[in-house]
Amino acid sequence: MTDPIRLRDPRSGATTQLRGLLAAGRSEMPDTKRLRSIACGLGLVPAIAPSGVGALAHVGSKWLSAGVLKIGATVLLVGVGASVFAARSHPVPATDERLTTSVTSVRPQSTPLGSTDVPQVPEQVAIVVSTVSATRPIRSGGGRSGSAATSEIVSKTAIGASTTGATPANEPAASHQAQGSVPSTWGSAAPAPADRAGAAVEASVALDLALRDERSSGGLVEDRDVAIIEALVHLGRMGEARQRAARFFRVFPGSARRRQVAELVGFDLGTQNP
Amino acid sequence: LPRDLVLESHSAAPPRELTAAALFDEHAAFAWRVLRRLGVTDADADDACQEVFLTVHRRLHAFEGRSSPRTWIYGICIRVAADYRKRATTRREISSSKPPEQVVEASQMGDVARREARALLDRILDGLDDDKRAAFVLYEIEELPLREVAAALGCPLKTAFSRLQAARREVEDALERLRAKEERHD
Repeated sequence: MTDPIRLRDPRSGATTQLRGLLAAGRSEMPDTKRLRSIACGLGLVPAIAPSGVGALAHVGSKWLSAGVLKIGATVLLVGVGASVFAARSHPVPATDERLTTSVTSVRPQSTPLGSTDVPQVPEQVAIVVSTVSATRPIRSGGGRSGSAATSEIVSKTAIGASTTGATPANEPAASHQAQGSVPSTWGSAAPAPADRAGAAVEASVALDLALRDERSSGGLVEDRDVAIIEALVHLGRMGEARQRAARFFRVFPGSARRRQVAELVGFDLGTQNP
Repeated sequence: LPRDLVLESHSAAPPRELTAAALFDEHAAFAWRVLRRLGVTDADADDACQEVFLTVHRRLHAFEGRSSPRTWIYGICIRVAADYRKRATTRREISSSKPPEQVVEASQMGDVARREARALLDRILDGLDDDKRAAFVLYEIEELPLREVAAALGCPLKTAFSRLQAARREVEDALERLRAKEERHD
């Protein structure tokens, strides 16, 4: 039986419209982006390049942004609550005064784990400013008297601002204490440089660990496990690292990276049986 | 997917390496297109395509090479698309007789015309039953030889032929009805 002439062939006698429809149906192809996405889902290509600093930074910044928003919202709420409490317990002068709070958040730096240099860690990633402008004195304990004041609440989120950028330039620094309604530790008590460096290193490794743990499907599972073990060792979580290593030996008995894993957790493959 | 699966062909030809990854590289785009023409929506086509190649991966060891890999994959596409259409979740979209109005630039008019043509084609194909639709799509759009169409459908050659002929008649009738309707509106 020979194949009949296809309808797309002008000799078939099909109408031009039908041939056009068939051609249109044939013209639809997925773009490379979609195919790559499908391939990623199947584990044929890595979803995130293993050493892709840019990709890591991108995901990290998304996480940080989400975290920053949460912190910002929390501080804003606490700030408003504290100012209302202060307005009730202390009379506010008639002059235009402001109440400013700020919060700093640590952005992890890609500091080498072995480095002894102190990184410039406390990069401010969020600023939350609560401003209360009082046009006339608020009576102490005045119940709903706070509503008499003109209240303006401004919240701002800025990425990459400097540490002192939280306070406006024309804002007297002492106003935090003068108001007495907001814990001074929010704006001023930064940890010591050594602590900040330690926090940064830990945050960096923890972020890396979390990201690698998330990238759990596909052919890079082996790489991921090794990276996790490495991160755990750097974090000093040797117990977990050894557990992971034991699992690695069990799941990938023929892996070419067994030796590397064994060296990481101090396991002697020659004498010990994983 | 492991890239080291090797297919021992049962044919006279020497064994050739046939990996899931290689099959994906070669056939994914066509499988995706077949799925679209078999009624899988654009939004779900990627997932369906992934399902096809997961099946390829799972069943590769059982593939005996009696048909070409392309035919085998198209056969999987037919089953995945049929399952897709049966699932209740596919009914979440409301079909409408006219495509939604969109504002497009002049340079995109060609794309729009093609998209509208595809929408019309899909509407016509929706009127066919699964078997006829598959025969029509594989033969007229994917341009597979009828023998391979029969293999993908898992039916005798004559059955594939009669399904194709029936599908052609229905498609032409549907177009004719559409034309008559448009003339009445004019």
